[in-house]
Amino acid sequence: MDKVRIKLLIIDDEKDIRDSLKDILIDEGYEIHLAENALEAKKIKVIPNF
Amino acid sequence: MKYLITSVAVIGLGFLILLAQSLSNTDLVSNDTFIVLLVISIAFVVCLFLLIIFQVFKLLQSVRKEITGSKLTLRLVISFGLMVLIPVSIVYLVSVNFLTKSIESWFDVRVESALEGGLNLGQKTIDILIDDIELKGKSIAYAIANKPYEKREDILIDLREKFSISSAVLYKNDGSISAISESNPTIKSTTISLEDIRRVQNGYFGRIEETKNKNLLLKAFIPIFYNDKNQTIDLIGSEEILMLSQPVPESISNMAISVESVFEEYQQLRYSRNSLKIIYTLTLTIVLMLAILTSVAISFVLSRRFTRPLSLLSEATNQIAKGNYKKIIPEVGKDELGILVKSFNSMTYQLDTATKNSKKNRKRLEEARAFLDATLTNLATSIVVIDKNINIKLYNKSAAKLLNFKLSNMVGENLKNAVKDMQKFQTIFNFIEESLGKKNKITDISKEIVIGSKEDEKTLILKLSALDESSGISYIIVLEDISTVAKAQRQIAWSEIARRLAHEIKNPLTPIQLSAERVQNKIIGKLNEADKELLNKSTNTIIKQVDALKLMVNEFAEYSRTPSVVRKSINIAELIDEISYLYSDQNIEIKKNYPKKIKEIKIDENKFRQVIINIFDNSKAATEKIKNPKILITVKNNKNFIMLKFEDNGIGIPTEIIDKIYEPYVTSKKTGTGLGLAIVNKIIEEHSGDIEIKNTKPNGVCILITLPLMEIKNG
Repeated sequence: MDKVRIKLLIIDDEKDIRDSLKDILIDEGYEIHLAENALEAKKIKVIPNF
Repeated sequence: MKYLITSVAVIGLGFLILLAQSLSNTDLVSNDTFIVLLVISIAFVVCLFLLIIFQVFKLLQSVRKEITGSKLTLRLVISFGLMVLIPVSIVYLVSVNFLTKSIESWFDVRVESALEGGLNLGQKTIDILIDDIELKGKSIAYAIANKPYEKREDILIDLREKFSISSAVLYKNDGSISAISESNPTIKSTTISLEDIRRVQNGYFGRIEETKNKNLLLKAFIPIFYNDKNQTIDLIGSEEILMLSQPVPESISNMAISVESVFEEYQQLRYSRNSLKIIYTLTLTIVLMLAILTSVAISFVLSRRFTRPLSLLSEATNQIAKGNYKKIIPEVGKDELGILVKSFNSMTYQLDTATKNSKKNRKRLEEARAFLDATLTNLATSIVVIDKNINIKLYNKSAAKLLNFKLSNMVGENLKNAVKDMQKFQTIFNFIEESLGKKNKITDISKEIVIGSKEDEKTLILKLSALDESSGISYIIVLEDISTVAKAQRQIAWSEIARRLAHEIKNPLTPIQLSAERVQNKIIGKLNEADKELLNKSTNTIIKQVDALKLMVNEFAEYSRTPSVVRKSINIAELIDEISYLYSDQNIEIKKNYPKKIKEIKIDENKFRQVIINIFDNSKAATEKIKNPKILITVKNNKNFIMLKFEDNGIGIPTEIIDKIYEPYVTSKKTGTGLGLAIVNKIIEEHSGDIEIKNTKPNGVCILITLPLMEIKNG
């Protein structure tokens, strides 16, 4: 179970789309980060050099 | 003509002078020259008379024809004629009277007796002289006879000198001279004629003779009988003749000759007295006639000269009255008439210029008016000019069409009466009346007015402005039908709504679909069979409806997208064939009517494909419940256009939506989005084309699309 968790960043201005995508993709076993726009996305430094 | 008259008159006068001169000569009646002259003069008089008659005839004719100036000429001729005729007639009458009297007085009895007395006196004097010389001859003869014959010559000389006789000659019987004595030897009258010798045998005699020098010579012839007793030679019985010659004294002879000749002349004249009178009277008459006729002839010429400029003026005036300003009168001189003619000419010129100018101005005005008329007529904007009582003064075609006038010419009619459907335009009239009722001066009022019922709605902009004219105040009503503009605005608004709607609807659709799928995936394993089926059914419904929603939203998006046309030269018939092939398996009959040669046209193929598919779809839907569904496609070429006609025999378009058929969201189909024809219309517009959709009889729809072959650049 030492599987490398793939990290995903979902950027969408619609909260519903972000949330539903997050739920589905978490079920699929991805690590999910959310951002409403590019500015917000830059604050999340999950991935270096993103 | 005037030269003819003048020359005839002058020649006549010349002959008249000759006639008068020849009249002063003696021996009138037998004078051939005189008679010839008389005849010629009469001929001239006749000629002149005929000429004048001809002239008068001509003049009267022209008076009857009312030729300008002829009346004046006639009056002048009559005046001139009378001016000459009256004094000349008086002079003539007096002259004739005087002439007759004088001729009578010449032949007075006293004159005649005096002349006769004078003649007798001369005769008597000569008789006395003859007696005297006879006596002297007898004395000499006696003296010679009683003396011896030898002494005869001495006695002859002696006695001749004593009696102072110029010549004494003694002839023998045979005529030879026996003795001679002459005072002046130059007088060579020494011959004796045989007749005289014979005559003297009967006794002495005396007579008067005319010499070669026209002198009178007294002659006396006396026989001499010698006495016997005195004779010494044998001459007894023989006789000799004595001839005495003595010239009559010159004074007496001259007087006698003149008296005699005058008397002779007088006698002649006495016999031809009456003919003389006639000749004088005739000459006088001819003189009179010539004078009168000449003066009449001259009066003709003068009258013509006077009236010519006047008649020219009069004629020119007539011409000007008729509108001919080109008439220029030739100048006649420097007198008042000449000045008049000059002024007239300059007046004519000015009139001509003025008329030309006014014509030019009028033409310019007419042109301007025609231009304005044409502009007004072809103007899409409706214009009506009314006065303060709302009576129509002027309107254009668009106005008549928009307001739906009753008759073709409604000028002067009240605007309210002119309009057929009062109800429809009530708002307009109310507004106009309200505006005119205001006391303030109207300056450019503008108002947007919507007229008509819902199906036949029109949006108008009404502009009202006052126009102060000399004939009173006028109001100009400008009506602009902005229905199309309003429609376009509405379409733009719809477009915007569609775009937003598409965006707004599309956004939640994805999460809805995702969520439904997730619910299905997550929960389906935990449910029993019955619940599983319910879940599947419900989530499938959600997903399907969301798909339908997406389709609709995409169509909205398509409608509201920004136009970008990619043109390509294609054969439109091939495109139609390609699409109609897709419908060939369905039970709709597709008929095609193409021309032999179809011109290529530059259009956006994909967009046109959509147009044709939309039309086919509509026809298919309309013919669903028709027995023999048909579509007839007609293509026509033109120099500038390609025309596409799609006709079907479907149920047609409901009349309540036919005017709004291009607007989005208008549809007669239960499942339609109402965007099909809106998109078609938009694409056709993008290609600068034209689309017309109408219902056909008995049923069906006809769609007519016209596309320009040349690409029309927008903007």
